[in-house]
Amino acid sequence: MLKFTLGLIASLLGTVHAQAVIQSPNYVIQMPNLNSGAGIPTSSHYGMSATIGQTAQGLATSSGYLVKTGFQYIYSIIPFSFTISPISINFGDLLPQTPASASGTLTVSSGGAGGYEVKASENNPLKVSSSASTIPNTNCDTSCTNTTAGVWSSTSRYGFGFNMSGQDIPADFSDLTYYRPFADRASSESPQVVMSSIYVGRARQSTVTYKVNISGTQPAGIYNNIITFTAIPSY
Amino acid sequence: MTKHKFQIGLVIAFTYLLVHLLIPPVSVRAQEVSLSIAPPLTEITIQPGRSYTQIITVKNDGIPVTISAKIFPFVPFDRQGHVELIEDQNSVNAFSGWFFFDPSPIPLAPTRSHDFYVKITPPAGAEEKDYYFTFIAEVKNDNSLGINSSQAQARIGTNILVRLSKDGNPQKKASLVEFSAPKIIDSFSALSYKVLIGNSGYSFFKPVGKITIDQVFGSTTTLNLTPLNILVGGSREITCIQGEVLIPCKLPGRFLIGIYRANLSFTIDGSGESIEKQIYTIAFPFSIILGLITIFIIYRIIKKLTS
Repeated sequence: MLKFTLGLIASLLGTVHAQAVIQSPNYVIQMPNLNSGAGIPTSSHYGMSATIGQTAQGLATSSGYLVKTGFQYIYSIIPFSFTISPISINFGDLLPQTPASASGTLTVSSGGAGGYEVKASENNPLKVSSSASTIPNTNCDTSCTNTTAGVWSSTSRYGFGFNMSGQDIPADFSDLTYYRPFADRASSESPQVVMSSIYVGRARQSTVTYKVNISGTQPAGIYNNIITFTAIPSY
Repeated sequence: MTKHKFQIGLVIAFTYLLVHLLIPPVSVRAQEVSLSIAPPLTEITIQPGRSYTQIITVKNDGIPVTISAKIFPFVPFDRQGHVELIEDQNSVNAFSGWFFFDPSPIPLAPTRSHDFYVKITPPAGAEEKDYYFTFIAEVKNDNSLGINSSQAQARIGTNILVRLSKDGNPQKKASLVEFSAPKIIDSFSALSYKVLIGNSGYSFFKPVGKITIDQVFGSTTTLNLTPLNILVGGSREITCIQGEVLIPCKLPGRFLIGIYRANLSFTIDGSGESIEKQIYTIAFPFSIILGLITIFIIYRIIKKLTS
């Protein structure tokens, strides 16, 4: 009976898992060619003049506009989609000279677009909201910038940075030891590309590994910031 | 006695698990933000002073979120069709009178979508030229967690190309910046072509054309150019297209030998004068020759040593 009970429990436990209810049908065709739905042009004063797969023939003076939606070489308008998982990147308790890391994934489907880009930036370095204490952005072991990754493996080099791995990532992330700091919008730095492609892609995925390492003199506090990822299809 | 108690404990644990399994499952959501946007591109040719309303649909396939919309002007970021948003307030304000849409935050439950009605009205006195914008849907984030953390914020965009013109026929002018391929290749190498087309006119256009590759003593292969938008003042690397799939402009992999003549020809938006250029590539089996020479040398060495 004991074996039976244990076996049954084990088999039941084996079936217990998170039932992810999030459905991401990346390729729902929302608007077939010359159909309606998203992208319907409307006007209270003029007739609709939406074209797909046609070249401009000049403006009809009665409408005053000519519109094309989607890409002329792809006969269906497929939504462009972007997923971030998870959105909360928790570092737990930070200990001096003990790097804390956490990972997340970015997924892009540009089925209806000829390529895409994802750019990333931070609102500010990791910061205690009630004080001016910050964890500075990393300079890596020797050097790295917003656009050029560098090796960061030393526990005596402090800061906050990220690594990219997976598909469509910048070439300077040679391996998992290469990091960059995020572009800091508070210092007027421009968001930088972390994923891009010139081809139609489906469920292109990359992993972002965030890393924090503090010194023994880092003031105590709860450090937070917001990392903004902007995904835009190519034109 | 102890064994009996242990068995009772197991039965209780089993019953507890069973009850929990039989209760209707509560939705378990990963902390995942997933948005989609359609259409991915809108091209509008419009007269100054006229209005047009475009519906942009944002769908939520992740956790419940609150989104808000913004429109930024953009400039080309590179030669590959990527954009550089101009997010400074002065630039945004310069076009605030052009667009009307509801900027208030919109709660979006899982699997639900929201239609943004974006009305564009270029002022009657606006200069006739191109204007490029990106509509951005932005997720509102809460950064008040009581732990050391970063919050990832998602923004998804769609581009709006506006051609402001009274007659709808602005001057379009293309320049062939580069059409190149290696002059000599090994027979086992791929033969890739680079096509870079510039826009020196007054409005964006799409190149419509092909690369025809003739082997001097053989077959003909045609690679169709992807009709990608080339914006004013910039240039764009053009890929090829097969069906609906964008591919590199590359001669399909096989053993290449001889002289290959590639003729690029394209027109602006499929009409007008054709722009053409021819280039030549010689494919020769260098690797085979090298291999044969190596074998011959080894053979001679072995023969010399054994004699």
